[in-house]
Amino acid sequence: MSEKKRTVAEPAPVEARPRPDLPALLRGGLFTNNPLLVSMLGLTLALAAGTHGAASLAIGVSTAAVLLITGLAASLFGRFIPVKLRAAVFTLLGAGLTVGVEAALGALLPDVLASLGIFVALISTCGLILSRAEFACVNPPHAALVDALAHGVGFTAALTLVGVIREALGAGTVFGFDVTLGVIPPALAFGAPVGGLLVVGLLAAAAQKLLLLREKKRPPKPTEPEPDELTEPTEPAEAAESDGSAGSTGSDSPGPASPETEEVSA
Amino acid sequence: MSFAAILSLSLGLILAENVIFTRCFGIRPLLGGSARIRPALAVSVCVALAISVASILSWLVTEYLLTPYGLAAARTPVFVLIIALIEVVLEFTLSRFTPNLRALLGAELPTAAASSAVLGSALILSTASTSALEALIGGVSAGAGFVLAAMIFCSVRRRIRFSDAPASFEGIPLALVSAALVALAFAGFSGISF
Repeated sequence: MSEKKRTVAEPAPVEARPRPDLPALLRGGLFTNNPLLVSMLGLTLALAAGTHGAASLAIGVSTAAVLLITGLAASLFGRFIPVKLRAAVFTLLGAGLTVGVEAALGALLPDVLASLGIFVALISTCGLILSRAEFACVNPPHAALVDALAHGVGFTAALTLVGVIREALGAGTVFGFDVTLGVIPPALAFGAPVGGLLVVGLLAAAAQKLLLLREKKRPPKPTEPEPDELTEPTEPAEAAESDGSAGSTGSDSPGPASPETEEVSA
Repeated sequence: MSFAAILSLSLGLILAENVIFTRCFGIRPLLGGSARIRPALAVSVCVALAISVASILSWLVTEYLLTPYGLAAARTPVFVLIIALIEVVLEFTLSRFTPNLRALLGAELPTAAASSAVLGSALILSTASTSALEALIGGVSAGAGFVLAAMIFCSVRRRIRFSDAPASFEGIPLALVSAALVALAFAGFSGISF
């Protein structure tokens, strides 16, 4: 919200605005500010719809399409819309676009649309749409398009990863092909919200770890004895990261959680 | 509707099909921000109010406007419009009559009320309900389930706030994993039919 106020207060001096740094925008949307794993935008879609690889891919591509159009529209017309109305206008535009997406999916991939249910409609209230529209309102169209594309692709990639992991662990398939080799029993919980939250949480921790390594700086922590601080936090962090990455190959690392969850849901 | 049917519908929506932890609608606002109970309660009650009103209104609009005129495919923009109107009314009422409460809510209200919890509940209840009363009870129950889940999760976040988490888990990843554990608890209700 504070960011919005700042961007709205500033745009008057046009020449003072810095030129958009397109490579940085690409990097931001794809990696450093990945919508799903870093900013946690579109979490509802990932948790509720991202139970299978194919469904995740479809919802990601649909979101990217809506994102591109709202981004372009926000960049072209955003400045003429009163600040207070922007959120409502762009949500409404997104909702209108989801009707088109539903129609397109219904014509091209009716099975996928049936499996997605109401989640296509929920793209319109996804935080990703609004946050990118806010960015696009104060930026030129080419920057808005690059930004929307980067965030759309980053979101689709992350969501598909989540969907593939959940499908592999929860149903024993990847895009419909069996990967269990008849050895690993699928844990139904990974198709449920529990598994979604766990997978997204572990992947987000892995992403945070990578960002921390990249910045080579530690977040400020309360004062503690030196050795504790150096050894203790890093070990579980690496274990967590290997959890996240091992989960992607479908190995048994999140195993401890699955018998427990099966027990409860049974 | 018999009393038993009402009880089964509302308990089912509060526990077994909880808006947040079973359907995963509108979980994002709960993960970040402060973990203070009072603002969280105020925001979630507002969202619950929006869910209730949006559910009954969207059922009425679907029944008497969209379906008769064959516009059922365009329900999403219509529902978003309804929700935006509810939000405007809520915002106006709160700042006009209870400025203190409005200040407590901070800037969170607009984003929270537009969250997928409201739209998702409206979309589900408008198709699943067979009567206006059912839509109203469903909306109130879904809202109550939202408040319950938000309060539980806010308390969980208060407990983990000062935990010494690994750097890579600090903040939202830890909140997500603890939300997974709360969701596990809610999954226990799914086998019970009320």
